[in-house]
Amino acid sequence: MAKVKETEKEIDYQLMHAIQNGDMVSFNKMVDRYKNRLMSVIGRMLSSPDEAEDIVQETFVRVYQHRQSFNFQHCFSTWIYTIGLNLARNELRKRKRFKHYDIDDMEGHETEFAVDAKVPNHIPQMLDAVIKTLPNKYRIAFMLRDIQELPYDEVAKMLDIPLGTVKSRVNRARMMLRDKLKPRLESRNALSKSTLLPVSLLW
Amino acid sequence: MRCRKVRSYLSAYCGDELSGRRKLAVSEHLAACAECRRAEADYRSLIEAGSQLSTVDVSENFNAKLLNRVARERFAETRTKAYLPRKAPVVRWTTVVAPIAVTASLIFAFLMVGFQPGTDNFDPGTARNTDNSYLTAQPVKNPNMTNSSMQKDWSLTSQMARADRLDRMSQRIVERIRANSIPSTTGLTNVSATANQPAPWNQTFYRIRPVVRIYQTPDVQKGGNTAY
Repeated sequence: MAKVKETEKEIDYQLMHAIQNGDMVSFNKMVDRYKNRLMSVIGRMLSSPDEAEDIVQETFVRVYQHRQSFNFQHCFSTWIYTIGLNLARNELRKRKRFKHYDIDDMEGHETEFAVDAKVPNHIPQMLDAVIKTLPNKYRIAFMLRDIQELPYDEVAKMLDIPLGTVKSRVNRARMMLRDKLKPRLESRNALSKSTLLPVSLLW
Repeated sequence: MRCRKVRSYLSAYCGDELSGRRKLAVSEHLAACAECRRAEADYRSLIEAGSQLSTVDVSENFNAKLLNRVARERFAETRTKAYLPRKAPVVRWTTVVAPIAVTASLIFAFLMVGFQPGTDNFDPGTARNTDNSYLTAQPVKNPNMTNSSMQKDWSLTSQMARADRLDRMSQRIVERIRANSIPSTTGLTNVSATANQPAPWNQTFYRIRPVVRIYQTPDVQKGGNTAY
C-alpha cells in the first residue's frame, strides 16, 4: 500500500515538473488523475453539482497559475486538496451570508417530501445521503479519511488541524453515521449471518 | 475493560488505528461480549461502505472547458503592452474631490483665523505700530541684585548711557597709562595700555575695563519683545 502511494507521488512529481516547463499534455493528465477525486469530496460538500464542478475547475486553474510556487518537499495531493477545500469552504461561507432560494422550492415545499421518498435501500447509497446531514467539519474529515482513504497526517495538513483532532473528528463522524444507519446496518448484519453470504454481495 | 470504554474505541479499532495493550484489551472484550461484537460489525460495514462509495464524476466536457480557461490564463500571462495595453486607471470622484475639499477647508480656516481683528498676527492692510517699551523695561525680580542696585534705573537707555560713561573712563585710564601717570596704588610698573586693541602675546594682560552687564526680563512685556 505504501509502495503504491510512493509511486503515485512520483507520478505527480513528474507531471508537475513537466507542467512547470509548460507541458499542457501533462496538465491534462494531471486533471484526469484528480478531477473525479476532487469532485467526490467537493460535490458532497456543496449541494449543487454545477457549483461543485465550478469549484473543481477553479482549483485546477489555481494549480496552473501557481505551478511555479509548488514545493516538491510536500505531497501534490495535499496541495491540490487544500486548494479545493479552501475554495469550497469559501463558497459555503458566502452562502451563509447570501441565502439562495430555488424557485422550485417555493412552490409548496414539494421537494422536501420527495427526498424522503427517494431514500435508497443500499447501504453505500444510504451512506451517501446521510453524510450530507453531518456537520461540515465531521463530514470533511470522514470523506477525506474513509472515502478518499487518505492518511491521517495528510488530512491534518490539508485541514491545518492537529492529528489528534482529525482522529477524533473521524471517529465522531463514524459514531454519528452509525447511529443514523443503525436499523439498516443491524438488519443487514443479521441477514449476513443467517445466509452466510459475504457482506459485499448483500449490497 | 467495560463495554462503555470499548465502544469509544471501536471506531478506531475497526479502522486499525489502535495498537499495543489497548488493541489487545478490546479484542479480548469482543471475544466475550456479543453486544459489542454487533457494534463492531456495524462499524466495519460502515467503513467498508465508505470505501465503496461511488465517485462523483465531472461532466464530459470538463477537460475542454478547463483547458479553454487555462488557455486564456496563458494568454494573459504572455500579453504585452504593445498589443494589449492594460486598462487606463479609473479616476473616482472621491479620490479627486475629497483632497480638494480638505485643502480648501484648511485654507479657509487658516484665513479666518489669520484675519481675526485684535490678534497680534501680521496684517498686511495696516501699518504696524512701533513698540518702544523695551527701552524703558525694568527687571521685576532678580535674586542676584542688591537693594541698592534694584533702585537703579535699569532701562536700556540708562544702561547704554552707563556703558558710554564706562567707555570714556576706560579711554581716560588708557591715556593716563600711556602718559606714565598710572597711580602707584595699583602696584603695576612698566605697563602699556590699549582701549580696543588686543594685547601683544608676550605681555601680561590685565583687563581693566569693567564688564557691562545688560539684564533681560522676559516677563515684563507681553509678546516677548527683545528687551535690549
